[in-house]
Amino acid sequence: MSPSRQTSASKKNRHKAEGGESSRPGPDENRGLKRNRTPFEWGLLATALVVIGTMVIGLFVYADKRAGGQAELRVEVRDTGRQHEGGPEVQLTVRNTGGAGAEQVTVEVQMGPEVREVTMIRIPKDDELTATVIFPAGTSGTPEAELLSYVQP
Amino acid sequence: MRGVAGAFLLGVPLVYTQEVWFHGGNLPPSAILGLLAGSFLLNLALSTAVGFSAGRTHRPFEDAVVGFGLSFLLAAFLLLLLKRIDLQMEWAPRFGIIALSAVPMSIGFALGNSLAPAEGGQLGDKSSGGLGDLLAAAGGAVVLVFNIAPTEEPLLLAAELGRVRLIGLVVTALALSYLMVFYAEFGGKHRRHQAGNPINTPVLETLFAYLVAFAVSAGLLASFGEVSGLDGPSLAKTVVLAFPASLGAALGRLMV
Repeated sequence: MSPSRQTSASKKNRHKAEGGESSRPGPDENRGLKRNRTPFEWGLLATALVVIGTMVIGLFVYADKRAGGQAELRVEVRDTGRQHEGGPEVQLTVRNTGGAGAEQVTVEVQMGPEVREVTMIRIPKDDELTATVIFPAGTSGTPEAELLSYVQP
Repeated sequence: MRGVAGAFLLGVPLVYTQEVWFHGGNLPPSAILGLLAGSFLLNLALSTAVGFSAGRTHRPFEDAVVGFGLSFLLAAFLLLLLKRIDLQMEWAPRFGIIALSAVPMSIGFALGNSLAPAEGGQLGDKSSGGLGDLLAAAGGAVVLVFNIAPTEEPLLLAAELGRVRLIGLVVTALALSYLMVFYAEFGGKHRRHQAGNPINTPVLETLFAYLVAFAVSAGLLASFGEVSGLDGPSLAKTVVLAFPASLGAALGRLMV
């Protein structure tokens, strides 16, 4: 038997000797049901309610916006760290988070002085397309991408 | 603090998953709202049965609301730190990503009470601290990050995070480990404060445990061929992985 279990058992025996169940504090008392909330707990509760309210309202507004039937394109670009004949490989991802598809999506990808244009034929709603851009050897810098244009069918 | 510890322990592996970032930004908001409603009910049930603070108020509904709300804040903080959301991105997908990441965090919050034994681990009185604690830290770190290390996410995050965010990760990892082990009302806290071993002073033990988590992360990344030496990218990958590893290390120390 571990020391902690021994302690617990001896406490129980002592408790019985002192009068048993009737003198044991009730579960509500043990868990502090009757004590008032501290200012810190009130603060936590208020903060939590505000945050939950903001999230729920934000998601409802977001849902309403998506139902509007507009394409919403998000462009992300990252250096994969791979090299092709000495040139860096960059991955471009375009996500359509809107309520309609987009066509002829043209994105400009820049790394250092080098600029490339990528055109994607069609990105359905709730979908994404990824393209790989390879820059010439010796190109360096942080890749950046900008959405130039798209057509909504 | 037990709730916060639980939230990070259960939530961080999910936040290190790119599908969560993707689906958070792309799932229909109605689906996310449904998920939130379901997870709130689960939170309410867990707060009734377990709770993050048994000696507090015994108001399960209030505890569920507090845990749920604070999980959104914790998720937002972590996502900002990991650059999964930023102030430049459109505001609408931000809600989705935060909400989806907050779901496992809120479950962890509600389970905070049962994360570690209330009287400390069964070996708590036999453990002399020092090396034993550091071994437990290594074990906890391996358990928590073994399923993260071989994935793409640490590499992706390391490539995108700048110096300030990486330092922020280290500071947050140290602060959380310290608070979990020496401040949260888990078992064994007093034994740790009273331990005579010099390693068991709170600050030193936290630093050593972080070093162990860092070494475990570097070792796992090296074994998967992702770090090759003492260069910047390797260091960044290790720092990114050492964040969840340090939380696992803290849990490991709490278990003994």
